[in-house]
Amino acid sequence: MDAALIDLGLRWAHFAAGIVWIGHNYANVAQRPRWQPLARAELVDPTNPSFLARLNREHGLFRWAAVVTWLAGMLMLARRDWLLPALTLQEGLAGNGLGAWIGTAMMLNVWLVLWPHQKKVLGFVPASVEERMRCARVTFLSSRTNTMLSIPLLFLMASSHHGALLTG
Amino acid sequence: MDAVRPGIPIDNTPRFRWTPLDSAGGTIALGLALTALIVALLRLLQ
Repeated sequence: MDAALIDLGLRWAHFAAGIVWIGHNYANVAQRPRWQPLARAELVDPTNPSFLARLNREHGLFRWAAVVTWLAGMLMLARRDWLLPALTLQEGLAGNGLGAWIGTAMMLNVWLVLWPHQKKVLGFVPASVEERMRCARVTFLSSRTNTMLSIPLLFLMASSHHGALLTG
Repeated sequence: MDAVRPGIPIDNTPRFRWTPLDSAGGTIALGLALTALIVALLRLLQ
């Protein structure tokens, strides 16, 4: 297959999956602009399989969208032999490299911090009410950290082609 | 561990220390500040 076509496909996947992933964060900000403790009505009924299945699908979608976004970005860098110079912030690729590091931190945040706690909040894993309330706080801060990090990340994605601000 | 069942009220809701991430405005302000810091850093590096 034509190399340019592969690159276009990766770029498309990077943007499309990124919108699915980060869009979920901004939807969360719109629904809950400020921190509020978990209310009883928000506790999922673990005996309702169709509701649990819907939640599982929603959370699975953005978790795997994070992996696709990250993987497509890394593959784009690797195909140009830019991976190492970018990750070591070499001249000309420091913006891409910082973006890659921020994206990696965000993807790991989803899988290693948010998801293990979210499983308890949503009732996929049995937990006491106190534990679920504590986990709700962790997932809130984890999600907001990714929303905050998405701002410089999206800036770096845009500036990779319009980087006059960065070169001085 | 007692699993949650419908009908159990949440009592003694714990209070957490406030952070700027607790509000949408604080989250965006932190993101913009971090972006400005990164731009400054990249201009130094390049």
